[in-house]
Amino acid sequence: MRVFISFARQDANLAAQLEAALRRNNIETWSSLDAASGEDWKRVVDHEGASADGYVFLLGAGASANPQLQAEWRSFLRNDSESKKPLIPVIHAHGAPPQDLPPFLRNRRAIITTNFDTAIGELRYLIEHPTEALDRTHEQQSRVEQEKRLNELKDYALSLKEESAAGEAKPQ
Amino acid sequence: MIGRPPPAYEKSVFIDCPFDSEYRNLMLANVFSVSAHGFVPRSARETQGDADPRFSRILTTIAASKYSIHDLSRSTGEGGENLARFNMPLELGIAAAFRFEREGSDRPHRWLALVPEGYAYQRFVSDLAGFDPARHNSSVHSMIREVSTWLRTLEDVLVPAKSVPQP
Repeated sequence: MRVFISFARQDANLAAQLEAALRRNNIETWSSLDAASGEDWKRVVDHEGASADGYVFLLGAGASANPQLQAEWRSFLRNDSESKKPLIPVIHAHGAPPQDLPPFLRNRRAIITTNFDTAIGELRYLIEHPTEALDRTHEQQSRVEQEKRLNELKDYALSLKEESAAGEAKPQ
Repeated sequence: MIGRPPPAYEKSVFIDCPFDSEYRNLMLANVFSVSAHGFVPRSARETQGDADPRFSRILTTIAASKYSIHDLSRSTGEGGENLARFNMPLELGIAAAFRFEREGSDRPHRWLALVPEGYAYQRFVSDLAGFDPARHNSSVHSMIREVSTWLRTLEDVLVPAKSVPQP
């Protein structure tokens, strides 16, 4: 198992601690801290992201609005378009409020770094048990919302169809 | 338009793409991706029976949509006279203006530009270079991948319940 750690520049110290702790736990990692200077950033992220088995998202204040992180996330999502790899949000205890999770992480269990050692234990567990990374409560809510939205869409499509048929029936 | 309540602004995605038979599968892939993420695909076609001119209907529909998707992959010379279609770039310009004008308001606008694979877009629409447009190769798979990748980062997306990571 090899995980990609994504983080914003201002969270580099915590990312370095996280990376060191995971490696001590025999989990391979890659992050921008491992990139050689002068490398084509987009190409490296794309390559390392595609070969990773999972992604850890270290989220500090303002992460959801950070353009570089957003570009990185799009690269991961593109490389994992069937959602087969574990995505694990780690929230900086003094950073992003949990409700500010990026949309694609809303159905994932988030780890908060209030106690670093506990957080590493939880992170290791979720990396080793990816099916546990899903937030079941959110999943149930999603099913209900999904059904509601599909019904709304169906009603709208039917009303368009009826209008279109009525328009065609009108004498010119 | 008669009596039909319009879809909610934050769930509306305006789709700006060709409507010809050659492009049909890509349009359906786009519509499918938008619907699968809990959004309502919209276009000026939904009001084509109305008396308003087409351009007014387009403006009205983009204005009523929080999101829009613009495929510029067909903006190249075609036919005997080698004419390019300018409707798609024109509508992208409208969306870009809405985004700029509404930034910070309670009705923001977000758009996605789709371009052909490679870097040709940097020559025919160089102003997009800083916006990281999504690239597709005219296959249904690449269209679904690019549109879905963008949709998954939007705040109003419905996170599908079935995305289960494999051990």
